[in-house]
Amino acid sequence: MRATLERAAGHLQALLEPGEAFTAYLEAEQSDFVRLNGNRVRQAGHVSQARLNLDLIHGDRHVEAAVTLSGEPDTDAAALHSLLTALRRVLPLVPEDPYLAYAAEAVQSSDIRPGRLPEADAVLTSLSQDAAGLDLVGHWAAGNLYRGFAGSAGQWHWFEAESFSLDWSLYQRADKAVKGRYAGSHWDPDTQTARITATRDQLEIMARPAQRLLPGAYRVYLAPAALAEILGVIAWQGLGLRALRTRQTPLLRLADREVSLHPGVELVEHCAGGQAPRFSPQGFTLPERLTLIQAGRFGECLVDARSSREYGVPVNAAAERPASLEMGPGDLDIADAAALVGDGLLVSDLWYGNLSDRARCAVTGMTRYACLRVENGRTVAPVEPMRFDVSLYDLLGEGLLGLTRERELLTDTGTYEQRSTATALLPGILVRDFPLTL
Amino acid sequence: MSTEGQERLHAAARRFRAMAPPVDDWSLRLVDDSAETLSVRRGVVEPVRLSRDSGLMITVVEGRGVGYGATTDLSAAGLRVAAESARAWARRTADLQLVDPAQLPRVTAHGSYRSPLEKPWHGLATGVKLERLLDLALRMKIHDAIVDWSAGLAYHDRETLLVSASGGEIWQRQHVLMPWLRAVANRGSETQIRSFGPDLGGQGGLERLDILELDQQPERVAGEALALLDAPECPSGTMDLILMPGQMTLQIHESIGHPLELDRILGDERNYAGTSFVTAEMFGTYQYGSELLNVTFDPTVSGELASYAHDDAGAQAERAWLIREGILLRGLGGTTSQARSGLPGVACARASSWNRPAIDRMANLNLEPGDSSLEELLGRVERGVLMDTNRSWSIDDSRNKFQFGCELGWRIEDGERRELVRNPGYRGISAGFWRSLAGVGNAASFRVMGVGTCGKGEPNQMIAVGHASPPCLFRGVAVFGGGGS
Repeated sequence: MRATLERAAGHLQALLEPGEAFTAYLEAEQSDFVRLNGNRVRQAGHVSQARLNLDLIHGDRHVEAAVTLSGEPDTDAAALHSLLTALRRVLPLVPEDPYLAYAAEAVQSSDIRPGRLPEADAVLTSLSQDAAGLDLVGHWAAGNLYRGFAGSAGQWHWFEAESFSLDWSLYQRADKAVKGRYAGSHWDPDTQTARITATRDQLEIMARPAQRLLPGAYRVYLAPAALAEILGVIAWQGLGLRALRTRQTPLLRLADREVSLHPGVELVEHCAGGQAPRFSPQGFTLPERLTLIQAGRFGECLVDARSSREYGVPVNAAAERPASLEMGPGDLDIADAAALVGDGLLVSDLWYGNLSDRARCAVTGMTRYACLRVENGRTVAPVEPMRFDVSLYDLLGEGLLGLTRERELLTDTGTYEQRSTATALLPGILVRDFPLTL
Repeated sequence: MSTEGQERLHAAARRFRAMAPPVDDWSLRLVDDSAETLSVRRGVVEPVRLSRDSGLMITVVEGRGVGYGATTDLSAAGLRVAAESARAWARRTADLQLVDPAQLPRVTAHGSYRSPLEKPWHGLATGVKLERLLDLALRMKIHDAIVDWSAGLAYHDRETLLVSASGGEIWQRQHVLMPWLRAVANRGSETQIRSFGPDLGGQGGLERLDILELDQQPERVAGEALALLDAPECPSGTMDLILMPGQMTLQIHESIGHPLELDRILGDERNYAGTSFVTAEMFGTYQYGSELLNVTFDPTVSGELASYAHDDAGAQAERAWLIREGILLRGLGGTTSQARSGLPGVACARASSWNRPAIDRMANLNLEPGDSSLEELLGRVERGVLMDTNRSWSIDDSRNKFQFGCELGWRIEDGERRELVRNPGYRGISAGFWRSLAGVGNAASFRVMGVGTCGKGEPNQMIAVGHASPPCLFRGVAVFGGGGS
């Protein structure tokens, strides 16, 4: 794939006319996908794809384009030639763009993250053994991911990673299931076996009769994956500069300092610690670390290239939502979760979150998977799915009783159009008065 | 009329036919999607974006195995690599397949489809379209409290070609246009957003802008955003609810469409999109809603977002009743799911693009009109709220407990629409909600709309689906406003 981008950049450079410049951002992958149901293969195959995002620039005028590249040199050369012709037709028709921003310095970088991925047969064999006799539904995605940037001023950035993700549910019956995840760069069969065994062990409690809860406020432990669902909703349009300046962020009252969160809440975009590339589609190198919320107060915003020009602030993000989110730890021991809850709920996962009230920064969603009733510090039974509707100002404000010392690295298993490189490193949290509504 | 894209796809298909591997069955699906997006925000033209996405997926059946290979390389070498990859996956999964390949449909049909098209996208110069968007956007800046305003047009010209070892060959071309307007009003910590269009995408050309009366919307959209800043909160309590088509779209999608997907019922989606409260035993007898509830799968509605002649598994698409007079009759499942479940389905095996395999999807899923005008529906409400335009959606993984929010609402009292209310929302349970359907708007109030971003599947797939509905009246719904309830 590196050669594909090098060839494309060379070809574009050769085709440039006086006064023109370009940026080119490659998104590519070679991925295996195996879909499982009932511990059997439902669909399996391989996808090889490469998309070049091109910006043709002349002064302050520019036109963007995306085109799939085949990897076959002559075909790609013809496609790029045809694309440039199309862009040049449009270029004079668009006005100058006051917010055009792209990296001008001839910076170069390379970030290659080799892994140890198994042969596909080995994965299928180990999976069928690890989950023998179980109703496993899940998805295996693995292979090479590539992101690259080339600019006509000589910029070059390259990111390449081998990675895998196994995301599964073990079903006990109907909608009673336990969620499991194993993702990384170096696959180990023993680790996979241990993870699946751990989820299998949780099926025992899921076999008990489910309790039907009444709506009301509960003392709850939210595991890192459950917290990730809520933070994901807020982060979607809550932490970017454009959302702040246009007053659309649901964190508006926090940003305006009308409210504050618990002083133990710290949210960081830790680009250097994540699995996403360290450069933006416009070629900007991203900072290692940005503090988005510090000691419960609104901190820096994520600023993409376009916002940087519009609002006169340096670029610090590829897009105005986190790709490598981290939340600071607390001092609770995750092993004590049930004891700390006492009487309430342990929630492994939340699902289908969405903003329910922007002004309150409120999120609604559902419990899913191992949501367990806790009585006298012990888990006693699964519960029927319940809807929550909670304000972040309550959840991470006065309602927050503590955060765990241990944090879990959650790899985004999203594969819309392409495999995601986003991660979140989060603790679990203990909260009071978590509102269940239906 | 032949296009460059059509020739390109057919050339690749001919290449593959000449070199097809000696397997029990194969199909080749090719996609060539050209798109253009124009938008204006706060008086500034956003970067014009063109795109061209081309690729193919080869699926092979070899012995007891099935596998696919997908690539952007349409050359003979690329086809060979993709076919070998598909065969390798077929071989390694032969003893592990959930579905007996003998159950899989063979693509034997011949056919073609083309969207209606009166005013081609390229018939109007880019500069003229941008000027029009600048004007539309400017007309939304009606007050200092309008802090963000934007207008846009997204156009797709998508060709697909499906060919098979059995001689099947289906070519389809869809032109899709989606306009949008969006106005954001703010005062202090109160922000309200009104939009027009994201749910009004449809097949066709620029004539759709006239059909949708886009030019008449900007001041209304911005005016409503502004008015919402001063509107009272939506009342809370159990009351009657009228949903306009702009919210019915989402209600149908989430609590009829998804629960009826056969692959959910068969368990394929349990690790991601979820399962369904609907079970196989319910088909033919289950009272899904009141007798006023009539729902069709209808790929024949001209201009609706997901109209087509054949699905991506080659099945011929025809109109079918899913729910009639409240009784559940048929699920949303393609030929594979029908064979697996033994249940009646429809031609709805669809893939988001060349790089994803076909799965059960909604296409055009419509709630058929009744006989009441909107005024008659209002007249039957003593105390309630009318809501329009979805802005928040959430539902459990069995597609039962839902909570939806709308951009705006109006309080109804003694049969009359009263004042505008903000932050309207409601929650319920699918299984009971549709039985509270007490009135269905007539054909004059029927509106064709759609959802452009339906997500499902592993690997994930985003696809456009059409929905059409009149306004509907529901009795005794849990309604609420903002501020906590």
